[in-house]
Amino acid sequence: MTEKVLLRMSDWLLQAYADDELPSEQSSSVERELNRRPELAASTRAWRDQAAALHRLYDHHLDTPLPAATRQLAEKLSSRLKCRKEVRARRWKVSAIAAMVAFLTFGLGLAGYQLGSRMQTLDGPAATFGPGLAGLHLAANSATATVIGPDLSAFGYELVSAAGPSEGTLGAVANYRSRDGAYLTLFAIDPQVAASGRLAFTEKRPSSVLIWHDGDELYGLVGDASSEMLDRLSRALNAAAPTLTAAPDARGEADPIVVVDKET
Amino acid sequence: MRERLELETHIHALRRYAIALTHNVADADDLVQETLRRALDYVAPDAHVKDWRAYLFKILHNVRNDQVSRIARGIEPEPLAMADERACVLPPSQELHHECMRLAEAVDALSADHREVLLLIGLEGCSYREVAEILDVPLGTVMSRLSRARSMLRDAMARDIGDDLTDAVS
Repeated sequence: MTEKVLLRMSDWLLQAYADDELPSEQSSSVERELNRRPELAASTRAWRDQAAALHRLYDHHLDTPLPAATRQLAEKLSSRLKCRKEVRARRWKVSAIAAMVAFLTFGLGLAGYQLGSRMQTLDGPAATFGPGLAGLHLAANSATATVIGPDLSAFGYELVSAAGPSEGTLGAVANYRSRDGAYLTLFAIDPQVAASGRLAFTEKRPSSVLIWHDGDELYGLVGDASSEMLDRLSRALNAAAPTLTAAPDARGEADPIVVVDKET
Repeated sequence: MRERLELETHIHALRRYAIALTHNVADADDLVQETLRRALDYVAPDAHVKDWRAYLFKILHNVRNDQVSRIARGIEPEPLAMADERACVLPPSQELHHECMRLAEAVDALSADHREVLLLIGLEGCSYREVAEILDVPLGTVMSRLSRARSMLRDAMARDIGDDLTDAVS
């Protein structure tokens, strides 16, 4: 049985050699064996002769023209290849355009970010914004801002800087920092004015946010504080609001709209 | 352009293989045309075919299997087992002519499984792996069928020579 298996294995190996299926090293070792055993060499020659005879029998069909029906189908398939190439070319173009747009967007975004960073380092009121603000752009007249802001020292926050309100600004912003380095930013926006302008705020660090409205004003608090602390602050700030904005006539309880806690 | 030329070469090879397989030019042309029709159905304009030769041979194999299955179920009439003289060109030399005739008959006498493997490797120069993929069988099966087909072919050719010698002596 073992001998038969070995014989079969050797037969397969010889066939693989005759069909150029062996890696060069193995092929060389088979060649050495064939030099020693002429009967095996004769077998491999016979197989190659069989293949050569098959070619003699059927190769002339490669030179005869294809029948009309076959040719038509072949041409249809060829045009499909052409289509495929066109689709590939179109896809490439779309990809190239997308890549270019992405590159430009990224490039412009980066430039904008750098510009934004530079804006924060400019001399003037904007430069006094604390490190808690990654980016703050008052759309109009921030250079005329004056430092104002309610006193939150009772809560451990010291006023660091502030801007607005003044004529032409969208609202006011005040920055606070606690002794342990936590920051807090207060926004007070007049929606009537803000509707015609744009106020954007971006923040890199995870923060808690509380937004509420009171009368005609919209307020926001962003900072390193729990939502409970922001709620307490907002209630206290309601009383201080007249110092931040053109004081609305009616003032009531704070009415939170959205609360996003950093833990959530 | 290169891809189109390659495709044309593959279609010529496909036809040669079909003729060798069926031993009948008309049947072979039907087989090739049905293969191309299916390829047109299967290949979407944006599809990517890595190896057209293997792909077309695989479709042809499937078409042939379907035909055989339809004949077996009586859906399609069995074709007349008549070899087409146009299928092979025989050399003018009497001795070679006779040998080629014997080879053609010996190939025709092989079972379809053995004939396919023998022709794909011996005539079309496919690798064992390609044949395994085209016929959807394991690599070992390809090698085993090839070995068996070659042995049967060799025996058939040797038997014919023996018969010729016996005829010559008697």
